Amino acid sequence: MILQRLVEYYDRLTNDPSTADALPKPGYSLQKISFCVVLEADGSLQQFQPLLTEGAKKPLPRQLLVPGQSKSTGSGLNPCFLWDNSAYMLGFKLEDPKPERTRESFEEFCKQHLAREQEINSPAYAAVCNFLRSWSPEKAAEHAEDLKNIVGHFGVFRLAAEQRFVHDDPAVLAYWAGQESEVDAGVIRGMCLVTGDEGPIARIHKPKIKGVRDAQSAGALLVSFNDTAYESFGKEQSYIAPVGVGAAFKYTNALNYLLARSDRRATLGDATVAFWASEYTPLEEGIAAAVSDIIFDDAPDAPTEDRAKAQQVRLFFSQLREGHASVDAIQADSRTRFYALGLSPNASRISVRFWVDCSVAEMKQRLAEHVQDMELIGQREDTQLLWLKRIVDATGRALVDSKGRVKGYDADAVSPLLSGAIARAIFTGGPYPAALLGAMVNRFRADGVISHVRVAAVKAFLARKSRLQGNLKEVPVALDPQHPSPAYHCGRLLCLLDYIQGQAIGNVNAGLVKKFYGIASAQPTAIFGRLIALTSKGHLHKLDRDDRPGFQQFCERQLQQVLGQIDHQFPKNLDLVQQGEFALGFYHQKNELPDTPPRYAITTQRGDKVRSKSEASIADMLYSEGIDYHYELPLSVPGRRPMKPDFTILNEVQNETLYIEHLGLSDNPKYMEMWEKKLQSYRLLNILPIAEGGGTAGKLLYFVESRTSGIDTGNMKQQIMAALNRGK
Amino acid sequence: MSFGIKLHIWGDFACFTRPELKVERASYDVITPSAARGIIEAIYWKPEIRWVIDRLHVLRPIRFTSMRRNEVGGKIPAGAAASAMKSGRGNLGMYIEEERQQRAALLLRDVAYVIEAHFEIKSGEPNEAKHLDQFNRRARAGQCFTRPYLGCREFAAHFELIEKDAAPPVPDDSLKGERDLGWMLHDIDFKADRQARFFKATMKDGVIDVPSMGSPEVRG
Repeated sequence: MILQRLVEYYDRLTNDPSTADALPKPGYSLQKISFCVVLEADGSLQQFQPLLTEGAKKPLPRQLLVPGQSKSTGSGLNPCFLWDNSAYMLGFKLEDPKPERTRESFEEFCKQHLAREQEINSPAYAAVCNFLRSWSPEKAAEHAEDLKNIVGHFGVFRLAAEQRFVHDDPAVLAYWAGQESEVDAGVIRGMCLVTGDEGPIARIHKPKIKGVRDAQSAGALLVSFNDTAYESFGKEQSYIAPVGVGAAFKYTNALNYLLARSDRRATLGDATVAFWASEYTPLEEGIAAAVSDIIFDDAPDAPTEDRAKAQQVRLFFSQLREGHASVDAIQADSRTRFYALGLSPNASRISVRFWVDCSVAEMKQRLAEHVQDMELIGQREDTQLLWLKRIVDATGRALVDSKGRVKGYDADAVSPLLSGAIARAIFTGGPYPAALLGAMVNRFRADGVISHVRVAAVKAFLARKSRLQGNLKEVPVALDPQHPSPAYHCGRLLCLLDYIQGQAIGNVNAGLVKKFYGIASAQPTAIFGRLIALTSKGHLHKLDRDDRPGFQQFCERQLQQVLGQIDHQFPKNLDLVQQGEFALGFYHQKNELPDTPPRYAITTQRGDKVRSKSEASIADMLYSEGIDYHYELPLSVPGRRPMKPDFTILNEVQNETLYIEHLGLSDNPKYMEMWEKKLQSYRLLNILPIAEGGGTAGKLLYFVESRTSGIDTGNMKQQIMAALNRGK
Repeated sequence: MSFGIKLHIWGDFACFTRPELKVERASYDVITPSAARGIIEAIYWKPEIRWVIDRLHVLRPIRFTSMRRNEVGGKIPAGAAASAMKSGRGNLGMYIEEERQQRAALLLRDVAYVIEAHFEIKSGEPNEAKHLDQFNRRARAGQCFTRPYLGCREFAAHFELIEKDAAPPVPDDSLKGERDLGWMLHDIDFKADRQARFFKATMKDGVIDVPSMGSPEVRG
């Protein structure tokens, strides 16, 4: 199945004119060429030309299609046809330890080429032969200065008068095509189990697969039988699984192509995943960046490509979350198949970690389900969503700064197998690994850090488990005072007691959570009685302060509500799932405590959460007009932290993007100062207000609301429509 | 088929290994006719009969999991055994520490199938009813020569005979529709130098019709 889909992908790419040249054709391979020997028509040397392109750190060789496969390993002499390294081509090697060997290789190279001179009727080839006849390694030594810097990789030939290389000469191409179709007499014929066609069977599947992280750098094999234990039925090597020569060529090249492109492959833990689809789909392009382990740096001083990538990823996720698409797109999505192949290395072999074959619509659905499962109150919108790396990292030990805030996680304590299992859960829609819940619960008990990422992972596990079991009731995103599980309320209780302690006697080094979380989450009956007694005798009366009237009663009411839910039925022991619910309850309660400012409290018609009622009216108005908007989509600003315009409306033509800002507290001078700064940032990005005609990077529309003048939705609608040129 | 049988099998794990991904095992999506035949033969088989698989029903959704196991990388050469026998001495042991290989496997999880098959009598008394009765009796009683397994020996299979007039279990809803499973291993042709034979498998609503060995759909 896997090989068949790769072969189909190869066919799809070669049939598409825009990508046809990116893949090698049978009989050719892509090699790194760093220099070119330029000859006059009679074969004399004109110059050595470097063929390097600018790389990030140093010049890189060019990738060219040349005849033949990669150089095989081994101690024999194996010259290539019209390309090779400098030892074979010129008899020259940098810091040569064995000049005799270099001489031999050069002579073999000459012999092979001169032998074919009669068959290839081409002046370019004749020139090459003349050159080889008159050249010798000593002459190469004379040119050592020129050659020194460019002979790092392979070289090719070219005539000075021509643009194309000698191996692209039509007569040479025709000769090589003829060579390839002669079948080696010893080869076995049979049925290919990928395509079903009769034909010669490949003995070794070449070229090797490169690009799987931590595999052999020379390339590894997906289909290989390199030990006697793997043989069966008396067959050897690749005859154990007959794959035709054509199919083997296609699938290896297709896979190499995918793994070489950073926008088609992602590393997830120890697995390298390649993504492709049966037809072109935008999901193909966005998903690799989105799921990759590399968290694109969005700091103000990060390189622009990284920030652009980060923006792309955010857009991808916000589209997933908001989930809007045209009818055509939806139809295409259910028709197009999407494939994800997870590979992980094992010395010189590659094993299949997971394989996903589903429609694009299903894959989008699964990604959206992951996002939805991970949704939890208290998410800071500017984190790069809760992708795999963040989840897996959070299973490590938390590193906490002096104020008690989490700065990061210790990467050493993380299990590499977990990412593969979580990735499989995300892509197949199956349950998250139980190891994830186990790891998080362990961490809660060990370091007492109940952070958003960790709880979101726990909540995702519980939510998916319950959904797959067919429960209609969802695991709550925010506090649910009527939750059926007593473990949940025990978690809430611990949080409340800790809060009351903090309010009563201030910041203590070893608070309730640090000391008692472990036992409270595993054996509530053992400890809660004591804690409740401690709180009611020692802490509650200290809350009765003059500057906070009614606070003690408020806390008491909260306690009563929680205790009422538990109703004296403290569970004796909590199993793993219940400990997860405990953590969830704890976290939910924490977000509902009075000192946490309510962040995104208003829900729009479309389902997003916004900060104020005015913003909600604008959002609802856009939604009712069928306009696709993004709420607080971060916008990178060079030299500053990313900005979050209230509403971003993207248009197909990028420089027509409309940004809408709503200023609600215009009476507040500090607020207006901030607004001025924001306006400056907009100008920096070439986004100018509509009143000034709009800028090259986008248009800005802002509405000012003050205590005296409210917002006029009719007027706003008119202005927005005019700005979008919709004229509705 | 009046002398056909229906057997319900299920297990926690299964690995119907793809020939091309045999080393780092990856399973086919569904049971192969070859594995199905192996299960039935484990329950009842004599040299006089030959089992032929007619149809395979897939009951549970197709789910994968992966694991890594340490195994042995080499074989004790047959020549070494022969020379040891002849000379009366020799070292035939294999030290696992020197031959260790870690192999990953992509397995199926929670599988359940119904195998429909019939047998043909190759030699001996042409009494189909006798063989059929023996099979039925053994399957009902849970008797088997060796424990049936789902692809690899370590994944034991549970089995249950579906009586003639009983309703067979129904495939899961997620298997509805038509699915192309590509070229799947049909069986090994022992008469033709153990050549592997393949057929193009399509699953319709969880049912795979298996062509017979000699038919043109089975190639290789």
